[in-house]
Amino acid sequence: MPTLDPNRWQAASPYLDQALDLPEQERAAWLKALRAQNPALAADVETLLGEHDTLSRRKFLEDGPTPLPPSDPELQAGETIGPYCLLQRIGEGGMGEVWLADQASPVRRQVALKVIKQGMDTRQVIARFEAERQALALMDHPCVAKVIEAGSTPQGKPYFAMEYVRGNPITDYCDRHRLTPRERLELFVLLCEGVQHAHQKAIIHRDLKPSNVLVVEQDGRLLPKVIDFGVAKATAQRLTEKTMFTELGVLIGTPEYMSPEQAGLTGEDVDTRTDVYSLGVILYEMLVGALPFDPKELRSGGFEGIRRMIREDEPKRPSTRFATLGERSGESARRRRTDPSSLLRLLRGDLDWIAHFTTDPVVAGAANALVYTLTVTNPGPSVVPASQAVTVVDTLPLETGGWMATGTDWSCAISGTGVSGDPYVASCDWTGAALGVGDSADVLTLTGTVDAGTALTSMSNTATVDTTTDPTGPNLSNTVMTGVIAESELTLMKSGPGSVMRGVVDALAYTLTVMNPGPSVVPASQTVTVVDTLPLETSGWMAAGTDWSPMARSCTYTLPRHPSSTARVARLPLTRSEHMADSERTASGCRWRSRGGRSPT
Amino acid sequence: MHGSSTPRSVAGGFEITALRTDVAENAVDGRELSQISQALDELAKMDPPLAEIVDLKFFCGFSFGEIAALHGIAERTVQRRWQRGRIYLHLSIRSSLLP
Repeated sequence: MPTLDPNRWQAASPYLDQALDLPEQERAAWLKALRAQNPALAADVETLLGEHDTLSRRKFLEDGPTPLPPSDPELQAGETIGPYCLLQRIGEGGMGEVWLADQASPVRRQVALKVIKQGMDTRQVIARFEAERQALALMDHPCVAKVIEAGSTPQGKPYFAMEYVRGNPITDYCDRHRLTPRERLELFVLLCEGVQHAHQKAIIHRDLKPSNVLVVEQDGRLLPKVIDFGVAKATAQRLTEKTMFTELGVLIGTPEYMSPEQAGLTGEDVDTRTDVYSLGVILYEMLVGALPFDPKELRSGGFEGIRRMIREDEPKRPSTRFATLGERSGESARRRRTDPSSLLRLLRGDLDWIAHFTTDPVVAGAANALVYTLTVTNPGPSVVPASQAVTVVDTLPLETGGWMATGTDWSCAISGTGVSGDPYVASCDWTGAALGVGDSADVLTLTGTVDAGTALTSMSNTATVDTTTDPTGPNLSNTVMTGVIAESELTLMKSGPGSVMRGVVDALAYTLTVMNPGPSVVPASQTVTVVDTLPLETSGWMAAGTDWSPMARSCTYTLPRHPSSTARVARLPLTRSEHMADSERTASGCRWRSRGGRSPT
Repeated sequence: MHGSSTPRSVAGGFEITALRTDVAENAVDGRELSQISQALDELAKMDPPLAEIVDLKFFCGFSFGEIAALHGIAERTVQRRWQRGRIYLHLSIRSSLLP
């Protein structure tokens, strides 16, 4: 079998399995018998068996105890690395050391040099960095620290040179200067803008946390600066016990800010949401003075416990978290120039639903805004490809002015204004029922195809099914049939709460869904509409009691506001076994190389 | 060695107590690793279950027993598939005539 002809491989596979199951001394006789029946097949199987024997001897892909190279001597001040002269060590972490260094040419300046510790393939790290370097160079934003280059030290360790930012981590800064919640939000919005700038250049940070967001005072105003762009991706490793703990069992990662998808087995399958999730955690901390998950509790579970908690547990709402801080709540409020009850009110009134969307009827109104925000944040393609079918469901009562026979193509009939101002988003199967004059249906299934070139943004958010036409129905041109919220509402939303809130709302849209994973099985009493805010291909109604876990992972499930249902947003929780079951994902999953994140649309 | 603890079976279920991750790191060099990775992608197109087992075993450090428990199949089956996948990968890496 000189080449790997798929057909021959497939043909030989079952026989190979048989042979592998036989004791070695019986294989010859078995092969002989096979040869009598099918010489070509037997030859292939024999070749493969020979290969197997060789590989077994070589212990190919088995664990070969190859000792790690001895660790390098420590770096010293005064040492020169490339064009940089080390001045002073300014930081140390699980990843390595950070040095303040002098660059002599081409310009004389001070830079921060991050030297990655032993244990990474330097070529790979640099190659990954180079792959993104062009994009990194395009970033130009006051809130993003510039990354200069990646290289390797004389000892062969990878290093990153970047703009030296003299500042304090954002949470420390806020507390130390006793910034009010509003000042914190303003700072946070700037941070969002910086991250958004990167996302627009298709760069994902992957490791946002307070220590990577330094606050500097520049020209009399506060500026958060995000450092380490490009570093996390270049040094990406699968999330494993080994990457998370040192040999002494000391945690080296920062799981508190890690998104559920990062806590998955692959650690690679991230997109811009990953950053937004981390931003959400940072905001949570900035506002409440505590992390969504208690670090002690989070870490007590060990590697598996951390992963499970991040992926499956629902964090407390900010106000709840604050209320249960006990004695610390007074200190937390004081640092925000307020008192506990005022801060609690603030969190409860305005910010809870942003930082944590819940089923609480008080915040039910947020559902609309949220659905909208999700769409805006992640608008998907503005033009639907010709081949893509888009389905829509109206969960609101539809006015019907005529009748339609079973099997009528509804797609021709969607137009006009909706019954209520509520946004509806939905999709499902055609019910197949006939509708008579004056009938109204709570649930209609409308399926259609979007014309190529149709801009989704022009879609109407409401629809009336016009059934006045002949039952056989003139089939109008295909119509776009989904919308999330009307343009006017969009404007209102944008202009209403002010720029601070707008930024927060935009930035947190994702966080909300991620932080609130929702039930994997919908309670039997609840009817759920599923909406995919990403490419619109997995929309559908889910019956009560449906287990939605088999659905694609990247979907966000939204229950639009409906008279009889509680609004709620849920992100699909993906458990380990489900992950395993998804063979395609897994096959491309636990791998060493990094996969580029999805670029923001 | 770190991460080398064996999985512990618990009554009525299965628990993974540690992942072996030193396997891929130690056994092959980076270039071969990326070749294996590529070949694994090819294999995944043709025979997903096979590729998955190699992935879990080699890249993720699961033991045969753990993989068998995850999928509810016999450990021997896992082992056989892994052996077969390993043959495929090795041939792929050697052969410049990838399908």
